[in-house]
Amino acid sequence: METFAQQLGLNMTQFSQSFNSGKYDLLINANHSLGIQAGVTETPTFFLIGPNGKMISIVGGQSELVFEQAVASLTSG
Amino acid sequence: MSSPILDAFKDTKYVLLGVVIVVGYGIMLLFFDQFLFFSPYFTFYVPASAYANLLLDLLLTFLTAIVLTVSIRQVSLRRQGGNASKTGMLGIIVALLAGACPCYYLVPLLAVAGTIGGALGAVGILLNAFQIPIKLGAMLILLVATYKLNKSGVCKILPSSQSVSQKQRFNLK
Repeated sequence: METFAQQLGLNMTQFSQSFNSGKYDLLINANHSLGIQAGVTETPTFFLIGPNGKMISIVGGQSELVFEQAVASLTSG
Repeated sequence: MSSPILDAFKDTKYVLLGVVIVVGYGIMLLFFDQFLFFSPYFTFYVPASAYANLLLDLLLTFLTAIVLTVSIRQVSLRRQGGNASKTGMLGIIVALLAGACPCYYLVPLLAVAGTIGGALGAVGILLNAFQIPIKLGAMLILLVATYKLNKSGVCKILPSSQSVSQKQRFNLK
């Protein structure tokens, strides 16, 4: 995790303090629970909701074409 | 001594078995590694950064199919009275264990998704991060298994009736 933070160029002192204090644990756990409730099994997962409420979920790192098709399908119907 | 690998693929039955394994295992591996998607549309997509991973997946698929097919043939020949070496059963075990390497990092991740436990999730993330070395290791194991299988010749014993008739013919002379 720390190597990843370093690669992103984060302030490591601030990162270590926040990470070790656990002050974001509650937020992380709440997001994790929300993901499970929504049926997320892997990352990334996208939920596209059309104007009429119809939803398409895109699981995994899929191509741009899939997103275009999904958006077209939601806006046309 | 003939090559068990070449002999196996001269038989249409084993060619078909090999194709079934390549297709079945290939689909599983490509799906787990997010190259093949069934939802929302059936798509095959390889990001530019994942060519090496795709190549590894394909090599693993073909090696698993070779090891499994030849091993199954070895076991089958043994049952039919041949003197196949133990490498047949060993090959099947090796192919199933090494070939299933993507499942090693997938199972703990699914466990977390099913809220089973965070510790398993950490193992899953760790295995996922090292998936290239794990796959390279699996490939090495499969390459050794292929080599061993190729070295293990199968000597088929002639049916006893044929041997007896030959003996009788010699005695008559």
